[in-house]
Amino acid sequence: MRLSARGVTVRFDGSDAPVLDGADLEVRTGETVAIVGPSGSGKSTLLSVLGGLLAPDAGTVAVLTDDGADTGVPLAAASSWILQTTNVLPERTAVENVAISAALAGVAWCDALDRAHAALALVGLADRAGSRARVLSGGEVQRVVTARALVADRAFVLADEPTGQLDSATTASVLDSLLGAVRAHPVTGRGAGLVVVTHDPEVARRCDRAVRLDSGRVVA
Amino acid sequence: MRARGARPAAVLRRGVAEGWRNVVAAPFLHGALTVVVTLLVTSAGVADLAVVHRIVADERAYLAAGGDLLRASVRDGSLAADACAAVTALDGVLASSAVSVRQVRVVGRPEHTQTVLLATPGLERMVGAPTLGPDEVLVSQVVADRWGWRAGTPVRLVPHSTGPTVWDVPERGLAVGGVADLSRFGDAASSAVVVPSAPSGAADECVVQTSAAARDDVAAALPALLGDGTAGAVEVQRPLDGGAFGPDAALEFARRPTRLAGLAAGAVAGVLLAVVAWTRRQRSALYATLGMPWSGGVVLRATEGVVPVVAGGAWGGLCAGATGAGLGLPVGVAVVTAALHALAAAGGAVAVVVLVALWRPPTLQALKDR
Repeated sequence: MRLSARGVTVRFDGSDAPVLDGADLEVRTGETVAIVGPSGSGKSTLLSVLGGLLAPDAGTVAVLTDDGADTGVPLAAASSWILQTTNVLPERTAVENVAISAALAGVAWCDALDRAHAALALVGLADRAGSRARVLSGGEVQRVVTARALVADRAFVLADEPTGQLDSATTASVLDSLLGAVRAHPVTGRGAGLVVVTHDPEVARRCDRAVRLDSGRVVA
Repeated sequence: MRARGARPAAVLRRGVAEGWRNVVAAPFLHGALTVVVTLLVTSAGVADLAVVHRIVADERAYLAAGGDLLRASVRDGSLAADACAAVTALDGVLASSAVSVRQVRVVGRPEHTQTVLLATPGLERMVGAPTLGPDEVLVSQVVADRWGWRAGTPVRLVPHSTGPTVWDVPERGLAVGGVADLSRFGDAASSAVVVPSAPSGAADECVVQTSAAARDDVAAALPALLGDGTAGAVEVQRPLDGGAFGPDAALEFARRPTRLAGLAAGAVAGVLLAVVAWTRRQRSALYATLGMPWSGGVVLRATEGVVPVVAGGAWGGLCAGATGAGLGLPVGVAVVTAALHALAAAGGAVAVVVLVALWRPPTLQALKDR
């Protein structure tokens, strides 16, 4: 399965130049791709388009089979998110924050909790499953978010600066958890595709490949 | 991977389930909201019930003072008892009675002059007393307390030894058939004994009980019904003439401004919940990224808001109803009035909650706030 963006163009009101100008990108399940580039180059915008949060003004984005046929799967249903901002529900426990993703995908709540426990164990947070999210450290929250992205059984994981607010040691451990979980995806038995926007060269280095955006175009 | 979108019913179920779990996970927030809604509903209900209490108390005082009565008499003469009985055919007339006043003595109380009201059937209905039998009399509370008379006490009346007596006192003994407060018929009646008489012959006056809305029309019609056609022959008096008590308690009740207090409370509660929802808007964006469709998000946000509204509305209604009953209002009036305010408040607040829940969060804006 592939997440395919062709000729994607996005213009925001009030800006002279398009934020994305005919960008092309294709990611397969089991593949890890880093999107790098200077600030304002359109990295996060491209990610938003891939995840169905933003409709492009031109171009197409679709989930395709390996043969190139359109699966018809909505973009929002094909991807789960890991964001830089702390996007957890602070009053819910770590395991509940992870389970929500599976529950919204149609998994029964009891089964979703079981999956969440397994996902938290995968990212090294099994002993914090019952802690409310508001008491977790920044690194622990990112691991919760990582586990949540995996447990929803989505084909692709979209990460926007997932280690942006972490120190180097925490970054390394979170990255290990993320890449290892995505590639093995033992919770669901399949490997997911990962697209990560990053300024961190170490993150880009550890991905299968890196694409560079400049002025809204993929240049490498 | 789950393909396509979920069925609408499943989306709604997930929205409700997740909304409920959020409520349970934040007991202090939703508990505080419930308390605020309770206070708003209670305040609205109590404010209105206080007004209702005043209206009811005023009406009771008005009726106790004879405010619903008209008294018609012929200047220097008498009127026909059967004409007075026929007044009940008028719209708005609740009861009528032809009354004549006599002075007698009570056997065993030779030193005391007792006022007797000879009255056709109808007078006892005006004071809520049971219908009298042919050998029974209705005794005023003052007389009953004075002589210790109760229902069944035998009474013998004899003509007064002095003064005009135009009444044949029954030879047979009489018995007390009931005790009632007769003060609404005037000072003389407050210590009187009522003896039933047939609706025939002449009477001193016609006492008519009317509804508030019909009082003026009935008063205007009585001279023609009771008189002999001579202008000014029949005088109609009202024991009370409007004033502080108010002539129409039902109208005052229907138009009282506080009847809208529940809606106002609901509007305030709705605004408060809207503000809380606004401060939690990033959560809506988060759920969108987790795959919650917009419709499911609406149901989720609505569930989070409806729970404190329903709980607070129920508690507020209970508190207001209990307060109203404590004020002395009839329990039914207090409960129904409080329940209506609770329903109005809850309905108004829920409407605002649902409107706010329909807001579509700008996910990109909400999530990428760096």
